[in-house]
Amino acid sequence: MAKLERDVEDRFFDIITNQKENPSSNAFGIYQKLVFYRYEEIINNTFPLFIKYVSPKELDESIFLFLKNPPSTPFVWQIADDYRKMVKRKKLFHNRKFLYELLYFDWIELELLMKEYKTKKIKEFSWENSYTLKQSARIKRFKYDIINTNYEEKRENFTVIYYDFSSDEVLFREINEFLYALIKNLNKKESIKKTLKKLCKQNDINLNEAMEVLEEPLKELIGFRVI
Amino acid sequence: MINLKGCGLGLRSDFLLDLEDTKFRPDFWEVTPENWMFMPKLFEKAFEQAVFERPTIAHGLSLSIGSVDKLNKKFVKQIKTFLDRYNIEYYSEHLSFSSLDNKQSYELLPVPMTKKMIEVISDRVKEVEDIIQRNLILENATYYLVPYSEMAEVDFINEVMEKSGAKMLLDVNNVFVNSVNHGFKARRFIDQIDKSKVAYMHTAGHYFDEEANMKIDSHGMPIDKGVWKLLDYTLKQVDAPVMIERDNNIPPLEELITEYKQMKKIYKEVRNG
Repeated sequence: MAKLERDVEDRFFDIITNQKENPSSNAFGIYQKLVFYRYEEIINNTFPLFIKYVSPKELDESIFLFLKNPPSTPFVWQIADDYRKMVKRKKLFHNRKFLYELLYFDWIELELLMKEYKTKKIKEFSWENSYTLKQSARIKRFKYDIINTNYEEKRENFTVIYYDFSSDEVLFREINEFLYALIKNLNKKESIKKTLKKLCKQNDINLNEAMEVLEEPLKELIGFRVI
Repeated sequence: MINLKGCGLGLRSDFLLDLEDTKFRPDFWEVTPENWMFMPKLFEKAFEQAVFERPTIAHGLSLSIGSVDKLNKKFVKQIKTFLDRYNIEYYSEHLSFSSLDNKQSYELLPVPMTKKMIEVISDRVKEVEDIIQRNLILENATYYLVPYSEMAEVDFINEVMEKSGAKMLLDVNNVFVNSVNHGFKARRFIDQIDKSKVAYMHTAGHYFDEEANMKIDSHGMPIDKGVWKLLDYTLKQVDAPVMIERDNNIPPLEELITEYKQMKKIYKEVRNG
């Protein structure tokens, strides 16, 4: 048991992550700064929209708080997701809740870009087939008008965010609430028609009419490998 | 192991796509696995082309070999998958710790230089090597303070290499920065290093932080004159390849090529006597 070595490393790590003052050496301050800047750089790069709405002081304070419980991922780019979750969990900026949605919007773009996808040939749409949301896409109910860049304005909207295989970019588009609910309820065990049927029944909607309206948008989403 | 020769350069996403427009290729590339294990599809093709057309070695950041902690085996297995996928034989890391109790600092922190620490590191090196099925190469890191020490740094490094069986990545800039910050003679340090263990060498840039009154190993500046001189001195003693490590404030590729040529000139002059 390397007790002494354990104590030395524990103390060192504690001083630099908790950004505690240590008068015995200003070199601790160098490490504190280096660690802080590393986190700050990732947060600035990942959340360009979010950082426009927080002051430098607020940002610094949130990073200090984040450092008290550092992430475990060995991959630096993934720090951003832990930071995003911490901000929400600790209810920081709770008087500007649109910031939580901005954090999500910024993060999801990076997450979808960094994934490795296996693509299969797109099959023709059939109501008898079962579908699920692909790994390359997310659906999100926003409470603020994020997608029209009116970030601070309240407006409930439903959005599909997806990796576009032709441009290698992450794109998004607004969808209606009913299509959002349908995608959310899709599962491997039943056909899309069966899922839609249940949804129509719950919402007192005519199945045939719903099929007619939804067929084209669904074909489009399949083409984009969203479902 | 592959017969790595000549002068290398760290491959960075900042200029990866510019390689298409230039004939420049270094003798070898060095890549950071953590930065390429997940990459936008946009980079995939260019990355594969780069690593398949030149010998490529890997230099990691998050292994934390010096932690008095359980090894993150899941991560080491991910490293192995990456190395296998791109047919990379050299894998180097830092003689430091960066994580503890499953928490990451993403910074290279100095380990206590004790006999016990040498044992801990040696055991961990063997664990890593069992998983990656390759020799681990360890770099002498920069440090701004010594948290605890029973011996001189050079003795600690030599003993770690000896006991663990690891190879050494001799970072000349780190020797230079440490020598200035801690007041020892860089050349003497080079003299005392066990050269038979050196697999390859790094050189890089640093800056002087007035507030801290110390040189900071930033990898974000052109290489300092003093470091070039020390590299020249080292190359006369160490028969190993050398490369430039630039991680921050990355200039246009042309500037890096100019710096690369400067390194190559020194390398050739020494090798050709």
